[in-house]
Amino acid sequence: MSKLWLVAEYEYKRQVLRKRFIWALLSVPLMVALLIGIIYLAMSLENDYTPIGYVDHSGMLADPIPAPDRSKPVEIRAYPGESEARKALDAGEIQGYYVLPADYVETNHVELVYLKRPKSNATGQFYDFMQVNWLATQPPEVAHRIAAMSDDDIIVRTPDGKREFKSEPTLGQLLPLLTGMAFLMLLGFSGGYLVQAVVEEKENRTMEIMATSASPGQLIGGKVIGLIGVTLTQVVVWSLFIAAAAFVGGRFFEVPFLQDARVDVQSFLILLAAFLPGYIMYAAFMTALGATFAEAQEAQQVSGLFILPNVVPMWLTGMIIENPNNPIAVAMTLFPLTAPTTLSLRVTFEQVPLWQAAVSVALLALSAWGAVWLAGRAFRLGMLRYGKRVDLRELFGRPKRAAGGSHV
Amino acid sequence: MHTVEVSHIAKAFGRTQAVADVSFTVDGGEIFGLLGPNGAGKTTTIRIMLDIFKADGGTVSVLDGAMTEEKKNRIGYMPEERGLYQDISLERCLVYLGTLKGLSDADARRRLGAWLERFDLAAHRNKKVKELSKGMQQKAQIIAAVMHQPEVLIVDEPFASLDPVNTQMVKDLMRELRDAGTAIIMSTHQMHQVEELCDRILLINEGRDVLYGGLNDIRKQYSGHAVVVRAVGEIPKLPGVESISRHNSETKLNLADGVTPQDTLKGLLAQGAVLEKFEIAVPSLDEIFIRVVGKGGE
Repeated sequence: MSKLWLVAEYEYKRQVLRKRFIWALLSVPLMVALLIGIIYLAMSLENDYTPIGYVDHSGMLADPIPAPDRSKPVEIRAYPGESEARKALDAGEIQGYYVLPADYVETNHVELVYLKRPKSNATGQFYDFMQVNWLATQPPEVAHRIAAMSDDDIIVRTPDGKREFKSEPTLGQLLPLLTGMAFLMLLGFSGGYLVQAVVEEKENRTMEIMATSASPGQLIGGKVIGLIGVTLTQVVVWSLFIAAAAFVGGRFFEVPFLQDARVDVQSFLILLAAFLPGYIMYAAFMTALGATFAEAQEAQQVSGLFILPNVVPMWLTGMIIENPNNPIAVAMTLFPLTAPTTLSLRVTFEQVPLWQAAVSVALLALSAWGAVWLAGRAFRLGMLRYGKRVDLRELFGRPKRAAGGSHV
Repeated sequence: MHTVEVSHIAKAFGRTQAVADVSFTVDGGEIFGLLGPNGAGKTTTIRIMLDIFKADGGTVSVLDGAMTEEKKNRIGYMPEERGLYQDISLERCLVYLGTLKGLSDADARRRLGAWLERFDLAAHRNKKVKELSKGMQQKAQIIAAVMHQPEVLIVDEPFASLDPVNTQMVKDLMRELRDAGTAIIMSTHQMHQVEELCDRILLINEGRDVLYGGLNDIRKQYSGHAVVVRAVGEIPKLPGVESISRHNSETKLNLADGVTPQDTLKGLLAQGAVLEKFEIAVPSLDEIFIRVVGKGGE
């Protein structure tokens, strides 16, 4: 095995076998599981599938049309008189019953009798039942319009018809945004690993042995590859858990949000094209930091500054949703440090013009290349600087012989 | 062709001339002492040899030519700045370092077993490195430098932190490696260890060679016109002895010009002195070091 891969394997195993990594890895699935559990519990507490009854003195429901289909219906029972309904209520056979008085059609007044307030799924279903029966008395065109008005399913489509949003978005529609947030989390996690991995050999004085065993390129390349492997492990494990949660939540718990996980392929490809150089750029910056600073703690404190620009678009989410093409959003799309998360926000809510996506990805790739160059330079300058920083002038200046021992 | 050949290397860091002009050769099967006061340029010289630093001038040939990535597997190095990965087990740390020197994982584990036994570290193989004592870590560092059977071994202060038993163990190891043909370069300030182990030395001061050659030749070169005597009772006064100095039970007689040690021995015997020891005074390496470095080089 080449030394590059030996270093990569070592770094990968060292991180993956640590307790804190395993906790970090399990934190997201546990969070998702907890969330689904809470939603399910809330839904269980909110719903009651015990039948609900009614007593019709108005004659409107003499020949009732059944309530529209629901995935988990509540049975609606008709009682000839209030005493029978009351008996059923006392026996716990029904949650409650509605009494439609003789003048109901004129007054629209109903009475609901219950011992414990019926759950909203039961009252909602009775409402639908009444609506269907009311509309049956209207001319068909009027009934259709009223039905459409009462259905709050407003759909917003992009002019080309490729993207659409309902009042209640699906997982697939929000996936780009969620991916952007996951990217931010990954930067947070892996930044720490990268800085630690590079600065460690300076802290524990193994750098000189390493430098006489492998080339700087093998060392730095192996570390970055190993840590990209760590990140991919996180991504794959998290994705599998989220996919499993979406499947279980959508299929078995019938959570509407999880029932449609279809994504727009073009948006997803744009994000992939931006996240890859974005991550490499960030990894290289972290490597440069680790090599420049003498202690991991110091370097990790500064590493937060590199994550910050990626958080800024999240703060401006409202503005971007309102007008995804405003100049600030476009500028942040093109600026490499804010591009990945801005793109994830914009592709969630609109079709980003192709030229903007292309320029953004190109600038990200260029920046990634520059950051890798800088990291290599910082590593060579800083690798034997025990307890001493590499100053910025030295890092960006012309190659020179540096006091304290290094060569370029 | 010498195993290591350093020719007129120079290196400056900013305005500091760390190495001005250093040359030496080392052959397989010898222990070479690289000596000098603090800041003389020893570490920089070693780092140039190992291609960690590029020299501003001069040439270095290691194992028949310039340093390459492949040659790194044939060199063992124990730097002055000690360090091992602290948060992993001793075995994992040394196997990793061994594989970086070209050993397969299985081979590294096999060899490591024998080395850990030899250095009394076998019982500690699963302990984290940070849980080991300083002396144990030092021995682990030595194992890391030799487990891949290097053709060139460079050790910087190899006896620091070692007790007498372990010091002896390391000295035996170095002699063993020398006898097996390894070229060993040892940098240390412990001159008695150099006297005991080294065949040849180079003394650097202010980045330049000041003394270079066989240890015995150098000591002869610096021997004064004196003899060291130990006798039963008082040492009689002799003509031709300019001054006398006593060190414990021994007496150093500094001789006048034209007086030979043989004349002095005859004189002592003629006066009935009972001699336990009579030898031509040869300075210790410590004394030579102080004389040369104190003068700022010769």
